[in-house]
Amino acid sequence: MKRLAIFLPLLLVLPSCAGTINTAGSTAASTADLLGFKIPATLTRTSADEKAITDAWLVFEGFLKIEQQARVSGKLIPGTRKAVTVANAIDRTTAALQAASAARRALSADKYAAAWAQASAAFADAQRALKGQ
Amino acid sequence: MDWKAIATKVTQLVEEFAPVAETFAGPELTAAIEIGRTVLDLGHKVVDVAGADAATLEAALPALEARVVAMAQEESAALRG
Repeated sequence: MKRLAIFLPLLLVLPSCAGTINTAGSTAASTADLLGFKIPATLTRTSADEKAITDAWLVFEGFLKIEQQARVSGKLIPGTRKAVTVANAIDRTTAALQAASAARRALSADKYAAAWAQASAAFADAQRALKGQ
Repeated sequence: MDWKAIATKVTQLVEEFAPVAETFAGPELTAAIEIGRTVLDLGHKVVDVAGADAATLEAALPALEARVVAMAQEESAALRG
């Protein structure tokens, strides 16, 4: 478990390596963010929008792969309270990211910000649950 | 800082040392190595996204979203036992 604990924090650090997402085309940056990526308060078809949501899906995919390794290696046992807690957080993160994607396509900044905040909270829950906190 | 070059070098090092480490591997070490590869792969992808144009990302998003949603559903079901 110690080895898993070494790698899990890397998921939190990695997005910062990409630097700050350029939100050109936006009027302001929202306080809601997912893993350090600021989202625009007003949605337009900018590169920043695509980058933010793409990064969010990629980071979530990375988390799922790590969770899968924890499960396959026997560190996360299906059916346990911890596993179900992780599963619930995965479901909430998935739904919120899908909602954020739909809002982005519809250019609905308010719905996007709300979904983004929900995804951020759910993803934080998933990480805490996987780390056993 | 050239993150792409750094990530490429670290990936090369991991790939060189992974077979040696796997010689001694139990399930934990194998999992740790796979997690390391996952994190490195993610690092490459995030750097690629930073340099990609909007049209390319927009075109790739539906497939990415479908792939991750499918994996999330599979993992959620597997975790519930």
